[in-house]
Amino acid sequence: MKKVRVAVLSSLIAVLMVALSLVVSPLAFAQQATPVPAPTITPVPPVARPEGSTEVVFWYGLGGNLGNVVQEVVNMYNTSQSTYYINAVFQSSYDDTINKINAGLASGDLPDLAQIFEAGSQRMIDSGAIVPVQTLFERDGMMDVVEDMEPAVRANYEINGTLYSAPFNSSTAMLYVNRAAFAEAGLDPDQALVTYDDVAEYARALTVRDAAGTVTRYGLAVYAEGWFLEQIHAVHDAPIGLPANGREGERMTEYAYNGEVGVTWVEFLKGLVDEGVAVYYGPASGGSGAAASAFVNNQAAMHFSSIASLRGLVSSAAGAGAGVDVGTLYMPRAEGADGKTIVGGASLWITNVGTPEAQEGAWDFIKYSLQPEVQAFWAANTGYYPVVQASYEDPVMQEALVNFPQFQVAIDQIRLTDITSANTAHVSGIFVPYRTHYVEAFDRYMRGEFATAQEALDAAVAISNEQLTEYNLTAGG
Amino acid sequence: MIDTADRRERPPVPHSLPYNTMVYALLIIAAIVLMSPLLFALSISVQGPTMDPRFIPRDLTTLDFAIFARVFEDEPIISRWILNSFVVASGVTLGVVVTSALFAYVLAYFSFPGKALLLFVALGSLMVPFEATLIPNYLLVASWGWTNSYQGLILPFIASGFGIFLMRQYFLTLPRELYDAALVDGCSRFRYLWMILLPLSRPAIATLAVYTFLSTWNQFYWPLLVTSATEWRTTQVGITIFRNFEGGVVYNTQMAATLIVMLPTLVLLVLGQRQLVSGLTSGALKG
Repeated sequence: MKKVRVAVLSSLIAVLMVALSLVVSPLAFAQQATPVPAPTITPVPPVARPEGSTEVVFWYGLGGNLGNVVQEVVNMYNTSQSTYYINAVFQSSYDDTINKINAGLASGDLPDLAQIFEAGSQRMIDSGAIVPVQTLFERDGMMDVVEDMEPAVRANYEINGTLYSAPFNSSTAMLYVNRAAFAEAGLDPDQALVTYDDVAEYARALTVRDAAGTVTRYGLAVYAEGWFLEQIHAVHDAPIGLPANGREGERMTEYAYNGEVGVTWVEFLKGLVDEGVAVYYGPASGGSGAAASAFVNNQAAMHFSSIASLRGLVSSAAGAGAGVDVGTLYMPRAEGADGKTIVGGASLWITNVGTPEAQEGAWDFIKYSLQPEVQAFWAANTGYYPVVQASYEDPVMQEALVNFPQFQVAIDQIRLTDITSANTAHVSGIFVPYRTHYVEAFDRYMRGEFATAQEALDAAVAISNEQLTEYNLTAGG
Repeated sequence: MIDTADRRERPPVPHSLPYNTMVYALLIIAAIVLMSPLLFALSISVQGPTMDPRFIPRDLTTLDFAIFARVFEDEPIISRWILNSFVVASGVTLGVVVTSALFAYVLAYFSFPGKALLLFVALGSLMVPFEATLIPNYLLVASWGWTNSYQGLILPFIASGFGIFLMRQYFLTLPRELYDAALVDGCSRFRYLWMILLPLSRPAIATLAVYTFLSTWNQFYWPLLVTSATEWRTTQVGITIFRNFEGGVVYNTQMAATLIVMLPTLVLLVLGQRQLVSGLTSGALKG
């Protein structure tokens, strides 16, 4: 009996194998005929370390294609001189990079240079293990470079009048729109400043239903993301944290995103979803992927995302072949609000634990990374802003602006109004946890577990403030 | 090893053609469902850099199988990561099996004051969450200068409360008379463990080994913390470099790299499955 079974099983396997090979082999041949275009920067292995050079350990948290560009910039630096050698070590994510630094404070296992996101600024300052780059700019008489920085970008990393870290990769949030759908519906995709009412009207006009009444394209894709809440506060010039986003001499002591600005924003999105002209895709990472996918497939005509994802969206839209023409608008706002958005991304921090030579090496790399042509190369290959304005005169950057006119809208958006502490990223020791609490409350509100937006945000603010108080106590504020 | 399953008389089972067809149809459906995450990963890998992957690729004529080669071109060091994971997972597995067997032998066969306490200490270690010991362990390992080393990756895991308990329970199911008879015949205690007890416990050892190997292979946070040089990473930490975020989430390289580092564990599972399944059954019957 056992033998019979084995025979049946093996013949079954044989059949499956034949079927598989029939399916797979033509595909294997087919792919050779039409190669898929490679990404702009293919990863380059690190260059070898020259004899006698000083090693500078650099931790970074940007993976994937963007991480390849980081390694490329490091290679460019390493081959441009032989005194220092930057050893770039990827640390899995922004979050893991700063967590490793926190653990390393006790053990002494720290890098000489680290790429940290703006959410980590307060924790880096509190670590007591850093050298504010401003002292080095002043020492070397290089404040003209600081003066030339994009004002919004510089303001982001200048806390209480001190530039702590050197901006490296900076982006902002945009409302992406399908220009083709706008044209069809007779809407104007070039009016960049849009109000909540405009977006609601667009969403209604862009929503398409089939004969049975099922929606085939929503007006707007929505997902839960803390960064957008910060952007919305900035455009209304309202601080998300008190006092003054933690930027005017005093440490931030409470979150205030349960005010009118926050509540209106969350209610606005929920209202469109309830009306059936927007679709909610869930919390952050998974939700943003699903929303992007819907956008490039013409299943949603508007979508919120970082300007850094412009290239990805444009090429995915072309690949999807659903006729989506990617455009960008400013983040929407209440009638009368004309504020700029805030800058996200990461900056370079020098630690004070290494040898003086290694610290000099870290500083030397920062100076290199701020050169206009390096910033132009970086921006043109990633979709981040050049952090120094001189880069806009570089031919590489000019060409990128011609190829991606949507990028100009993003530049205009961060230059809309003067810098205030309310339209600059807040500084808090519990930045990441606060976003988690907000995203959870937002998600529960969208799923109907909270009756009102006010209730949801009140709950999130309460937990955030509890944690913030605790952080401030332990950090010795 | 005595295969009790084969000795039993089986009741005759009807094997008509429709019956077989139905059974196999169900099995094939179950297999496809179980395999679907892997198939989806494979499908995403070969679809090129798109933010919008489908389960069935949109265009079957432009599948990009070269992506797997590109993973090795992009990060040639991935083979070193796989080697690291192998050394670490094997080291931890060997350590856990040895320490668990020895400790369990003592607990199962010897009587001495405080034995119950020892068992509770071993079990108690299961109640302490990994996160609570993470930082103290890290500081200790770092103070010995063991960051970026195999010993730093292996040592904190070579004793396991779960392993001790599993082995002890298994040892207790074996007849005590064997032990007495062996000792009467002049067998030393260590020889009994080595020549009789361990061979009889192969099912339990295999279960413990496979479990330990897989969970060590999949570790993320500890290897991230104690390694800060690219060449000392294990696969799970290393492959995060393929993850895109902050601008254009495309999954193809990430999925290809994930499949590559999963392959060794799949091979292990396929090779070890017979042992594992027969082990689990005979263990169950004896209990």
